[in-house]
Amino acid sequence: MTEATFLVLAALAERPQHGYAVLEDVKRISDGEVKLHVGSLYAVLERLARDGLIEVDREEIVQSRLRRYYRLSGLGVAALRDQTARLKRHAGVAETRLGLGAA
Amino acid sequence: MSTLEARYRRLLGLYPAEHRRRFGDEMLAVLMSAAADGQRRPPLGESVNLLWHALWRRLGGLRQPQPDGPWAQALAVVGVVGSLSLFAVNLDTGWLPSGTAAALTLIVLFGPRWLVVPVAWVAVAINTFLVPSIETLWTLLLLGLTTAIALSARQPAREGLRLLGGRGVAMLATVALAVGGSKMTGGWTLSQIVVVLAAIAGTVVLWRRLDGPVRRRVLVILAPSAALYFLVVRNMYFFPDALFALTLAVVVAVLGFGLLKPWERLMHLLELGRKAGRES
Repeated sequence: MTEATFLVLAALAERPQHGYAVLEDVKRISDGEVKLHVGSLYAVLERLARDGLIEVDREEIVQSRLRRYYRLSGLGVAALRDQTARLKRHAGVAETRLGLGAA
Repeated sequence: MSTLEARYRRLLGLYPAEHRRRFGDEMLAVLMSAAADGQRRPPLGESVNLLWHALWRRLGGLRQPQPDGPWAQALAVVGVVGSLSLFAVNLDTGWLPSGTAAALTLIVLFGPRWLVVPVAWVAVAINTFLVPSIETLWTLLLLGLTTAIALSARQPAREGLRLLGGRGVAMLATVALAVGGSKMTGGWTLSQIVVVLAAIAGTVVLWRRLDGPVRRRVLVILAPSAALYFLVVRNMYFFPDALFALTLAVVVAVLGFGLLKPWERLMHLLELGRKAGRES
């Protein structure tokens, strides 16, 4: 799972969000280190929807523009949980080897 | 419409039509939300990113059709219809070609799934090298290739069976048996009548079972093989050479694939017109 995919799933973990909110949330989660372009965001969203990890929650028209809200599916929650555990495990090993105390 | 929006629309226009329909308005809304007040031009990074993803999407779209899109569904149906057709056309062509075609049909219908693709390509090879007469060679080769490619695309036979339904598959199998049987037992005139009736019956099955976009794509994919079959194999006085067969298949394919989109657009506009007429 790429970093962008992980961050998009993490952005949707709390509540359904629309595309622009996901962009902003990804920036916030990564402390401004990851700034997704819109083309990249929709490539990720399209792939996640195709793989069944996210689904459309609802659609709204705001100021004459379409807002589509996405939410995690059951599969998406499981995938995010697995990836989080894997990253934690790897980070723990790295910390131990660097002598940073955590195991 | 602002200058910025017009420029973003032009960039989004580079994506394939199907992607624009699904995401175009939504992406435009996000792009405009992210724009600064008074901004007139898309940032260079954003433009390059959109260009890159539009190009990637076009190349990726060619490589792998959408899993639930009409082309993928049409390929799934072609896998089933093509194997039944191969069986029908092969029924009097010797025990090995007809046996292979029968085996392919049975495996497509009942499994095991892992055998479908290898047997489909074996059928193509056998149809190419062991074909009994030159006039059937090009039809069998093209039909075999079309079927094998469709079955290899995404192991789609099961989806095709689901789309056609048990009754639809049973009717198509009956049509295949009628066509094959007519060649073995009937005189030529009887055989011609059976083939025409069977073609009509097969089309009716496809018409009733499949959605319009899927049905049209199935017909476009199978049209070159069907044209060769009806114009060449069923015409005993005409023995085509490779160039004629290839030209005919290419002309029918180009016409089919080329006219599909304009035809669907016209139908869509007519439907919109009818809807507006009903509402007014």
